[in-house]
Amino acid sequence: MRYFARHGVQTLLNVLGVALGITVFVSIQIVNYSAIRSFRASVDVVAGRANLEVTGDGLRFDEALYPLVRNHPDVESATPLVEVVVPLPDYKGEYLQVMGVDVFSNAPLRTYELTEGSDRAVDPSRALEFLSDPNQIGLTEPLCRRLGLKIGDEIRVSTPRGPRKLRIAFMLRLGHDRSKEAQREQSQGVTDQVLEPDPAEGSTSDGDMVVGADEHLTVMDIATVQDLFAAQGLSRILAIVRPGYSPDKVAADLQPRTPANVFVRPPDRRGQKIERMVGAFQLNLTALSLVSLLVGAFLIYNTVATAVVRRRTEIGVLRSLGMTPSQVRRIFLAEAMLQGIAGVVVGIGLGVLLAGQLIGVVSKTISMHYILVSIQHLFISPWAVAAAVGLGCFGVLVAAWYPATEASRVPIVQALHTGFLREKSLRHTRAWFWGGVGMLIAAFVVAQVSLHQGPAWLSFGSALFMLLGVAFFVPPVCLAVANLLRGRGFYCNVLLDIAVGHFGRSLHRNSITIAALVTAIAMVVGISTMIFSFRKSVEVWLNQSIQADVFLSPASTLVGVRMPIPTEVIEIARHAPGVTAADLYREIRIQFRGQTVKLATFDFTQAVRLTSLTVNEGPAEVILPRAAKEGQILVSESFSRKMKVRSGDVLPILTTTGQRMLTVAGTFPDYTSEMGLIIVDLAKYREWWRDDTINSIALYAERNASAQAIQDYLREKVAPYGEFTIFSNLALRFLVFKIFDQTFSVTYVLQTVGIVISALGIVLNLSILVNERRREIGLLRAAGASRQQVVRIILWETALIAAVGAFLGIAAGMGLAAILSYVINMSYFGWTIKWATPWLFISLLPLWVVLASVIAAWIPARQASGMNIAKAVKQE
Amino acid sequence: MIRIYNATKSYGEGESAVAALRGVSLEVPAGQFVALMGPSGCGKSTLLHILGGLDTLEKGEVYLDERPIHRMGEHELTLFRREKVGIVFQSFNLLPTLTVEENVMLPGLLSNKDVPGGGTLRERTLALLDEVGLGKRARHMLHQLSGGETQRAALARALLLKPPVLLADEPTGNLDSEASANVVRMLRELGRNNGTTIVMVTHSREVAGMADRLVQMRDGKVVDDPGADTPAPEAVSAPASSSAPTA
Repeated sequence: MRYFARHGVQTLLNVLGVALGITVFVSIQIVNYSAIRSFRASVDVVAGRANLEVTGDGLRFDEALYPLVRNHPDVESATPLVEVVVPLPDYKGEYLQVMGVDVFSNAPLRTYELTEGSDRAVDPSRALEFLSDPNQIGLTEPLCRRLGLKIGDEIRVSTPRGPRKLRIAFMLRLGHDRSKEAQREQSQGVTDQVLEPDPAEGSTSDGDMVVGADEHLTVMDIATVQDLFAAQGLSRILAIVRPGYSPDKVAADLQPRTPANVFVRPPDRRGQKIERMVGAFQLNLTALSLVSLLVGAFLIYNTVATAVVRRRTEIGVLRSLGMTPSQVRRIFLAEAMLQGIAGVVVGIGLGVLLAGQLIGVVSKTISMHYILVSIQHLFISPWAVAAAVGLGCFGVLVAAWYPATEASRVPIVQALHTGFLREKSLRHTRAWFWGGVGMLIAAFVVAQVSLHQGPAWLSFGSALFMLLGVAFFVPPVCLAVANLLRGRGFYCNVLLDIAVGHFGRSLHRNSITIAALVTAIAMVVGISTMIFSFRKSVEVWLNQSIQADVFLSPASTLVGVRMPIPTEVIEIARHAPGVTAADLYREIRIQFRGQTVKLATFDFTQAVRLTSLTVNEGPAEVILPRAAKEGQILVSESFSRKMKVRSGDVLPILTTTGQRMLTVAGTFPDYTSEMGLIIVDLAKYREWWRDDTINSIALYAERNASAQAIQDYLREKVAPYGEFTIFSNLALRFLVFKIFDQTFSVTYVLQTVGIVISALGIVLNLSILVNERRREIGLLRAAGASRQQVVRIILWETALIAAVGAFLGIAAGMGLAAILSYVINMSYFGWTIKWATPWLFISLLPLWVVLASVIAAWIPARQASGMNIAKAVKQE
Repeated sequence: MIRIYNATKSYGEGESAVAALRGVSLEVPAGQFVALMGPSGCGKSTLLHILGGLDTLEKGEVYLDERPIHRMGEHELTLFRREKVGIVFQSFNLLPTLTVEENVMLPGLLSNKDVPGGGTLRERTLALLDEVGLGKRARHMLHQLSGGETQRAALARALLLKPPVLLADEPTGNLDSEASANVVRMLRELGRNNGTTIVMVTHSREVAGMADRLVQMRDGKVVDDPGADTPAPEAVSAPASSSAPTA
């Protein structure tokens, strides 16, 4: 402890280094866990106490199914539900997730309560009146608080017939009345199967409240919702199976009697499905956050190494007094653990704070790409905390082991004699080189196994081996650089030559700092290059696929919800002055091989005429019309890779009119859905799904018509029918890239933290080097070197460290980008990424790294130059 | 001419302070070879460091050819070390990353000035290496030299810029008796040839016996100086610019 106190700043740097690594890891875990928990909580509220659910997975289904379920002999009670998501035009980006419930059948299942504020429950008769009044609405208190609303205020909601004012009559409390529940359970013997907390996952209920449920949830009468929002059919039927009867058995009984694209299953399976869906996205964030921990581990290595250098005499004294080597090792490991634990504790605290900052952007990304989720609560998983503690402590132990062992093996006489330290790493450079080659081969082999046999998570192993492989190359490369530069500058720049000499002689210390720097830079270059390549690929694809002049869709699209466009609006758009053609687009989600995928439809023949769609198997103008005529489908490249489907395969597709065996006519590049996309011609879709809904329209202007004039016309004419977004071609491209950048914004945070940790590493490393060379610096000063000359020697060496780190980091970054693009991406997402190198960024990077490192080195260099010369040279 | 008057220096603070020099006064005429002897901790190395501008005094005055070293600032001290003093330490006083030749040339390269008396830096270096018997070892790295050879290289480096003063801190501490005798003989000869004043710290009476004058120290004081002719405080001929002694 005294050692820490004497080296307060350094101890602080070490603790901070570990803390930042843990911060990133913990924040990502919290955000991921909160997203899942929030979604589960919302499922808990929507599904109520049901243990069986009938759902169309996004598509509404015929109300006739309700009596079928309700009248099943094993079903105790059932209730229908209509769900719509409606934007709030007066609050940008806000929406309501409206549940239309049947007040009569819903009672045994409901998990919400109406209050008049302050948790005062509403009289049942008034509640009934509220639910049947189409002009009243109840909002959750958190939403009201955030939007500054109270009971009695009016709020405008978008409906297909234009904005509609509703009066906030009550507050909606998302939870369930425990006393009623207890009574019901007593009288009927019903057991709670839905809200019972999963011991592994923790509970979403806090007292009576369902914590974390979407604050945008609201309740209205089912008929009102169907009428107000033109939402015919049912979104869901919720049921409670009689005690003693199996929900799975009932599901198996009912499933054959429902349309092919309607599913009967326990509601918790929906949550699991969503977890699988966002799993790859979340796993990637977790893997990237671990890179920061790796950089932190390098820092800990240097930390312990510093202590070993500084306390050689102490080690010598202790050893000469009879302390065993293992006792010496334990001392250093224990000290490293103390700093590690402090770092873990601080890191967990900072992680919670960072999670609060990241949650919004992650929530938006998941909503845009996967499923609508609104995260208002941070859920701290005990597993995440335990993992952070475990990883932090394990990382510290592993990183500290070698220098601690080194300390325990220092010969006693040498330890008591402070002079120039011997360079051991020089002897092992060949071993390091071949170790690096081995690691790179392992990276390649693991990548191949991951791609061809799986499991997918092996692809991260490939990235790890690649990073370690390049890190292994650091000592031989440093030595080669030192040998190359050695003596070349002596007569013209003696300071550089001395710096080169130091650089080559301190591989044991410099290598670790450079390895940390290489890892951090590799992460920056790897992610940046992958994103750059991805962006370029998307740009090319956009140029081919987005060629219309004006795009119209419901405003809810911006929050990730695809609502239908009213027929009147479609007609207005089609016949708008200056419009020569209109492309109608519809998108739904379907189940395929147990996974949720997107299915889109548009007029193939028209698309061939108006756009430059690419089909990999041949000319689009031949394949698409044939597919339209013969009722074939096309699948996106990501779908093809994930599902291992090729052109010519026949796939079973569930439609409203039954399962159809459809031939794959070809594959095409697509960047709209990570889940995978199937396209089918509009006419066939309407025939098979019996769905005339349209989600967006692309309008093509006549040669001399103004796109702006069309937009202005549409804004005026469609306003009475609801809220719509009307984009020009340029604005839509801008929006696409905005969403693209938002998707990767969390990774930028991870990169930044990695860079900060490695910057700490450079400062720490220099302070070690300065300490190791006190005597040498003293001798230089005694020989007449000025303070400025000593500073320059240290800055030259720093520049060398940074330059080697930058160049190796760029090389490793390119390798990492290749693994991210062609191994990890292919294993998890299947996007087609065409390689593009961000030359400007990469060519400027070494300059920035060297400059930043030299600035970081300034203070230790100044301290070194100002040391007492007599004291420094006296250390014999 | 080196003049030291009432040199006082201690390490540490308060009650734990240890006095290294307790009012040492000494005068060394130009060209004299003086050996400082005494038990460990008597202050002889501290005195040497003060003379070399490596450390500073708390009290007292030090002059080299009437220039007050004790008043020099950081920059002046650097120039002083470069041009006026050559220092030889017990061991490890050369940079292991440089060759013998480069090590010897180092002060010249750092000062970026011509060699006093003409000739190029390289010529002067090779000539000095020849003088110390290392002419054929110029391109060798340090680990290829013996202890005596290393110390001779250090001696060459110390004399490169023809400093008026050569300070040697136990230059034979790590050498056997034969090598010690060689190094000190060389030290004396080179000093005489160049007219250099030499102050050498040693524990060895044999080595000290090769000096012109032997000064004994104990507990931070000069206790025996047979050749002493140390002037009284009022007799110190301080230069006009210097202030009067403070104690």
